[in-house]
Amino acid sequence: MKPWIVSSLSVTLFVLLWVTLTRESGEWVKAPNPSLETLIDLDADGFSPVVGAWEPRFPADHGAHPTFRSELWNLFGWLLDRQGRSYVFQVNLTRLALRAEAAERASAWATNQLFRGHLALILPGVASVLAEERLNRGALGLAGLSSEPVRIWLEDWSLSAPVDSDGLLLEIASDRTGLSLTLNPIKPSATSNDLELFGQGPGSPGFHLYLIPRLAVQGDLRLDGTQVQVQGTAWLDHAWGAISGAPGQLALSRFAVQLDDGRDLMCLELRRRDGSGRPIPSCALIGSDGRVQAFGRREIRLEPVDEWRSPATGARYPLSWRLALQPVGLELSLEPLLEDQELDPALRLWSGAVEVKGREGEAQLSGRGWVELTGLTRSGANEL
Amino acid sequence: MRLTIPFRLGSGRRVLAGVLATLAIQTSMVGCDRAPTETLAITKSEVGRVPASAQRPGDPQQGYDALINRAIVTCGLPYDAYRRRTGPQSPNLDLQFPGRTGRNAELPYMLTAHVAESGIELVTSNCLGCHAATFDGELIMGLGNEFLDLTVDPLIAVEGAGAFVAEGPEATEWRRWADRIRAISDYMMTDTIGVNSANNLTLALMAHRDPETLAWSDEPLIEPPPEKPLPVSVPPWWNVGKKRAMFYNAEGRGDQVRYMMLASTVCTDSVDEAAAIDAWFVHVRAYLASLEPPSYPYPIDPDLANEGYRVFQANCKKCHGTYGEDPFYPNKLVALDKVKTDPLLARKGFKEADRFLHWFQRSFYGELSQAAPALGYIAPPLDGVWATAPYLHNGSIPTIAALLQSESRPTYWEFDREGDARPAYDRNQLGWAYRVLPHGKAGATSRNERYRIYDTTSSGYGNQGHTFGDDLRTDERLALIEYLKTL
Repeated sequence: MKPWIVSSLSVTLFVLLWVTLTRESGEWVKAPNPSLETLIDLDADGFSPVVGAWEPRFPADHGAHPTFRSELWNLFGWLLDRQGRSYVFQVNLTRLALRAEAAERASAWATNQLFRGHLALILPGVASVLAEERLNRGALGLAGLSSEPVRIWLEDWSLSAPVDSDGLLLEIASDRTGLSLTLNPIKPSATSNDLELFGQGPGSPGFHLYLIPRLAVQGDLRLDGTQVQVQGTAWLDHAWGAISGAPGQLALSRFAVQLDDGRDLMCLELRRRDGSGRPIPSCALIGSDGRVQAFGRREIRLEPVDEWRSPATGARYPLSWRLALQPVGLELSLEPLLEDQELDPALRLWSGAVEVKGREGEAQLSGRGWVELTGLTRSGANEL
Repeated sequence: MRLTIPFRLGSGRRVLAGVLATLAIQTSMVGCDRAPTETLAITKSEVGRVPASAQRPGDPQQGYDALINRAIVTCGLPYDAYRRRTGPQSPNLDLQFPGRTGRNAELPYMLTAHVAESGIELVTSNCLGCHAATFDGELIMGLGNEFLDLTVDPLIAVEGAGAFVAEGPEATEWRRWADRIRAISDYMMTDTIGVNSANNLTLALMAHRDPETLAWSDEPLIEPPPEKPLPVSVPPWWNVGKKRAMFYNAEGRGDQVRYMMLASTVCTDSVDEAAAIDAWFVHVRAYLASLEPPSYPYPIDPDLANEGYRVFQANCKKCHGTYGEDPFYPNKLVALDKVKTDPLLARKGFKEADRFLHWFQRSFYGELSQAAPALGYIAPPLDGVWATAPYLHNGSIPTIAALLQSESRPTYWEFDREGDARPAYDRNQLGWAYRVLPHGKAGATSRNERYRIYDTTSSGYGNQGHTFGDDLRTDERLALIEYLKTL
């Protein structure tokens, strides 16, 4: 039963795509009105099987895997300009195949792939998130993917892996803003097997996942015509396979932390959607050498200490957290950079940046992180 | 919209075996008693012969049918959610007991369908996750499963199942089940694959029930047992007919049916419900008492076995009885200072479990019985003993050869196998192939490695005692091993 849990790791933004597509105003269901369920053959065979023994190979695995049903890229980054002002970005790219076979219809609109891109940007001195979205079909040159060079694009957004480096190139352009960043891994990638979250040992979780918890970032950020040189660090995760968008009775929170001492921390917290029961946390601490130490629910204390009520939706989110890994004496507090980082009001999804402070014994710690809170009840106040 | 996260055979099997199946249990009442002194009389036994006690009659045929088709644990995962997870085909269906009917015919042998009062069909655990196992690919009723992985956190699997559960009554049934597992999950996780924790989780369940009404309480009503279970090897069922008392410390005196149905304490919330199960469990006990051990499937040297018979008669029969045409089993409880095997299970049962003995005697489960622990272990019948490795009550000795020669017992060992595959059966030593390791759990580099190591230096995991074979000559030991194949 563990497989689904790891899949939830990446479910969040898939849910976004799904709901975006199924919304009444969504362009895909507006036209002759077949439901998305009829468009997407959920029982479709023909997608590539996900086998257990797997190691990522780069740069190829940075790119798309179109023979698998669905795929996600999540990039979080924290950048500084020369004046020391900080910029925080989150880019999510999602690909969903409607069916395994390529579209055979003559229409240039024919496609079996849908793409969604989402950008969230927190600018210095601005108390709100700048958000942009792209939603495209993989036809008419609107969006697509290539393997040589490794690249996925949605209009003027793209993520590519240049042949001559082990890094990534992120290009985002829109009317107001733009990002042009190179990202080079500081740490090796870690797969879901390496992380052993929720006790997941060797074996297939039903999809492939790797994350690179720390990449060095350099490049330019454009805002209303002004170009700013920036540098900083980012976090990447990338998953593909049979990822579903429906978490049933469950909700999942996710915590990604980069500590200034070079260690990174990934935690998941599984909850019941109705708020009953006790949440179950699971964490993986990734050393500066990339070595992973896993922690089970009995070794972790993870508690919200504050709550924020979204003015847009009325939903309440626990936003300040205390996190302790008892076996190593690590205690952290996670405070949101902004309260209102509700990424998708329709979904009750909060996904945003947090500042991290804490200690390990006598030593003071600091860092930054990202938290995603998902799967809250869709009607009425959430019951966290 | 339907869920598309596929069920993975490998890990799914492990979870089904490890979580659902272990909730059907037998127990010994071993815990840590720090509660105030109880006022109700509690009986303790002396070592020596266990007296006979009358057992209620039942129909073995009906008992078999009930065992494989009726639910002893009455909460579980809604069937529709189970199917969403597994797809149309359950895993492991090549291993099945004959006579499973209706929905049960399409479920793995360790799961049983049950329709709850709400009308929701559930998939529940039954006795066979622990009390049936394969030997060379053949499924054997009553053989203890010595490969169950209880190191897995059951709560993650059970809560995780919620991903497949629909709103409404399905979710209500799932929550009920998950809440029960939540209450006991911390008491059932072992740190070694293969050993069983059913005793400890049963005590945890007792702590959450009013003994008189059997009503469930989310908060424990008496102090729960210590979280860390003591390791127990699952004894074979085919000895039920010979044994006058249940459990290694022979505390299960009197009527045996209600000890056997203690698994129902997961979800049975009233005396009426328990009585309804008791009515058919009488037949299950009758079936278990009629079970015969399997026959050794490989060639036996009859002359050598004959020699071994003489060795056995001279050295073993006083405690373990005689076999063959005129069998006799003495039901002898041997004092700790004589058998000298790891004393912890017996000691804790004797000294630190009074609150559970008290609970039992006040409850429906103890109405016809008198739980009476002793400071010793029963010398078990040796029928089919070749099949029941590893040995001693804690499964600390991998083979009979090592049992009979204490200097050859490994301090640190693990089954010699790939992943979750069964190890080869060693016909010379009688037991599953194992590897001797240079280090214990402290030397393991991963969690997975740590769980696979049997570390006899851990508390309760000791492999000492029962050194009665040490004085035998090598040829006598070989002959004795050959004879044990005939039992």
